[in-house]
Amino acid sequence: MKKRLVLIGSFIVLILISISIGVADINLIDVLSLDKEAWFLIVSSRVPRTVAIVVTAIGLSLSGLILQTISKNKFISPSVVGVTDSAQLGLLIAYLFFGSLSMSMKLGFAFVFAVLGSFVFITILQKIKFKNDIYVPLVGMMFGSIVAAIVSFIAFQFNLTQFVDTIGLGSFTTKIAGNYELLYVTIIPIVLAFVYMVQFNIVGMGEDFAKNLGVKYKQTMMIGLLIISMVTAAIYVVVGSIPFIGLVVPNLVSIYYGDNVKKTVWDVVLFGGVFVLFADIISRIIIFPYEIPVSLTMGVIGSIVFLYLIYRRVNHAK
Amino acid sequence: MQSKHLKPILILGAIAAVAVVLYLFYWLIGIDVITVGQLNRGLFRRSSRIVAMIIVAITMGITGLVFQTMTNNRILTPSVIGFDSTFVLSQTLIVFIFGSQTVLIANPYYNFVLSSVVMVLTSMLLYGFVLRKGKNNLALLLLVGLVFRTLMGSLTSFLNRVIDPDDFLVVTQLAMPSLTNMNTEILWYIALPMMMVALIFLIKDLKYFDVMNLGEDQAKSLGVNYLKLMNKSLVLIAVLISVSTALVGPLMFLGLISVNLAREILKTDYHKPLFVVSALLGILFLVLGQFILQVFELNTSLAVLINLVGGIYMIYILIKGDKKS
Repeated sequence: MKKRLVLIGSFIVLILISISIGVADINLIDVLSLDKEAWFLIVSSRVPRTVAIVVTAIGLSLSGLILQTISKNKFISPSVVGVTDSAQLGLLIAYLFFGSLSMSMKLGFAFVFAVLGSFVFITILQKIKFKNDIYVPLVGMMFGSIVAAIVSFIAFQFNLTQFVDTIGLGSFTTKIAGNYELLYVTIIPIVLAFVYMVQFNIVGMGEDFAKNLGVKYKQTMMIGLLIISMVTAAIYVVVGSIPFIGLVVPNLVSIYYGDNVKKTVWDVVLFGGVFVLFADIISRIIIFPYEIPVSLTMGVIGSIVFLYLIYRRVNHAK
Repeated sequence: MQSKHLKPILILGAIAAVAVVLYLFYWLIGIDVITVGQLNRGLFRRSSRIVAMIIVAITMGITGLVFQTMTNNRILTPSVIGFDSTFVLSQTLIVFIFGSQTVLIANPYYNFVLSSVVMVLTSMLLYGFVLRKGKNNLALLLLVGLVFRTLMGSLTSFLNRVIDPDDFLVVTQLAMPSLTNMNTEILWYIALPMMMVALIFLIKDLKYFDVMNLGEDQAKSLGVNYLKLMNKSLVLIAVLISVSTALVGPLMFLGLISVNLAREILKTDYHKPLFVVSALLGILFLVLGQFILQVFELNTSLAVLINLVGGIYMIYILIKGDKKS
């Protein structure tokens, strides 16, 4: 419980810092004296950005947790196994056939393709005879790179490489009022994820086991995949791809809090929030007043943390 | 080399030779008049591309093969776990540190040597550690490779963001060679000799790798200096991968497909015949791929095509199940 208090504390502190950092100077006195300009800035730019960060962090760490739970493998996440790539393919195809589309249409396409992608992945996974820790992420990577190859194939063929490059890079820079609200569609799947977390855990134990315990295997699996696809697609369309949250956060949490997902799901969400807020703050101050896309900062920080974890594990195993 | 391996080698060799000759000369079909100068230029351009492709095919074949024995599995190759991204990162890092105006960067030879040295050092440090500590721990190796690929990718784009715009142009030129846009500047005087030297060393060691297939303890008791061999091969692999990446850019799946297909064809564990066949297959894939792109007038790069076919083939292998891995 004490650990969780620390997490909640740092979460709140980071939210405040995130709101207070920006190119325009806002000081506390203006805010408290209800200065119009300061409040306008806060409401239309700072708060939307912070909300976007928090929603993204929660959504991605949860979908990572769900995927890791239902496939009982710690080394995968939606971006590793090609769900994100599929969402990208959906966006590309939408652009190819319809030109520019409204955000919600884009989301529709990305969602449909993400669903297809995650189902294909799970189907391949169930076909494989020798399932183990390595094969599962490897199959995911292979599948992801096939989808990525299809994306670049289409992009080359129709001269859309620049389009593909620009949609992929995750960044919160442009998330101001009017630009981020689509992220709210992830709230229902996120709530569902909390409700179904225990069932997901049971599904992870295998079809027979789940049936014995009275859990509808196929249906629960389907719900899990739909949640993952919806969250991943929405975040991809609005924010872009952000590596590692889905992979690193659940792993870090399970080291310190164990594997009881019913309890740790809250820690995963909180920790994800802290992690992304921190990365975003870093990417805002490192070349202030300019910004680095958060996906890059996240990639660097995330991989270093992850390598450290692996290092620790190897040293312990000795 | 046993005689039963000779037949597939001869057949594949003949097919590859035909493909190479076709590639060199088919553009002459339909041209009535041609000056000697044009002929020379065309042939020179094509022959350097062919030599580059052969280098790449050989490199990918032997590194994939040796690495699979070192890690005792059939689904990892150096490219899959991120060796080539290490090379791209080294190049970016050098431009970032020294700027694009120095001789070190402007001269392709210096630049290549420096990048290779940085690459060899980093891969010794990173992968050497993992291989020594996490021996027989494939999950670990794969995981580290996965993370490295993202880390290298992120670091490279990170540096590209903060780098001077002039330098950025240089980096994109350096780091963007592909099979259609080869970096043939370094081909004759540095890539080819370097590959030959590394190749000779590795081929000499292939017989020890046959022994290594028996397992570490067996190999040791039969007199193989396991650790030394591992370290030496790791350096050679890093050198070879930097040659190939400098020539044609990252190629994730070529080694994987050619080595696995070679195993399928020969059904043997001996390294020498496997190496020959996988190199021949690699040449065939590259040359045929070029043909396909030209015949169907596809805009796409060959690497994308190889990734597509290679990925599907690998998933097929995994689904089919494989006794050894």
